[in-house]
Amino acid sequence: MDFYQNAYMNLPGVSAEELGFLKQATNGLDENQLKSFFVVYSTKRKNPNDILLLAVIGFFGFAGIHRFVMGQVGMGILFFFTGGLCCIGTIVDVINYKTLTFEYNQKMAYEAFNIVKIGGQFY
Amino acid sequence: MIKLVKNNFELIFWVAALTSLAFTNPTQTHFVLCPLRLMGFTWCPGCGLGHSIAFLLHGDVKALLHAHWIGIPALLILMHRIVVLFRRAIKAQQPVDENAAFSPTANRRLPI
Repeated sequence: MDFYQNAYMNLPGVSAEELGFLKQATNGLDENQLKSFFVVYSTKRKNPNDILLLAVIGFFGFAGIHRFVMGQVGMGILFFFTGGLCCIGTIVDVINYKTLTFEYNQKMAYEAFNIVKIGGQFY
Repeated sequence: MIKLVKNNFELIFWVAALTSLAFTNPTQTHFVLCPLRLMGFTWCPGCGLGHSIAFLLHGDVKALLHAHWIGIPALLILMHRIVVLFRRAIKAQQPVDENAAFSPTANRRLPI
């Protein structure tokens, strides 16, 4: 169990906030479920640095890709067709990329938790 | 307080942007924030979007369509995003039970 709690620290671009959140989220899981949770979650989660990179592409004409990647289709379309709300939306997201990614990763943790609870174990 | 602003930066920004658009007069020229305009470009795909939303908030549909048709979907999408962020902010305010497993209502931030 300790191993899989520590394995979270090797996730790329992980923050203390995310570690704390995962610790709380996986509280009710046993050892096997923790293993499954780690595998599922680490494939689903996004690295905040990747999101920052995609957001920065917005300054060069392809705004909103990061919003599509995070499943926010409406915001993605809006950003794409307005050049990231005239660059201002892009600037907001470049400042705010960590919170945005954490919001997405929380959703993914919830999904991974449900998948594991329903019975997806690799044994 | 700083933490609260930092966590809800996006929510505060969109609400501030829409309220300021509601209180500006779109028929007057005013101080321009657009970085492209300040750099000397005369056209960008979002040009007229601010005017458009301001006209929409003032109820002037004809002027809205003249400024930029994307104003209507833009306002709807931003409203939806504000609602999503606002729900999240409320959830983050609720007390966290350290011993509770992940429950459907526990999709929230830890107060670290």
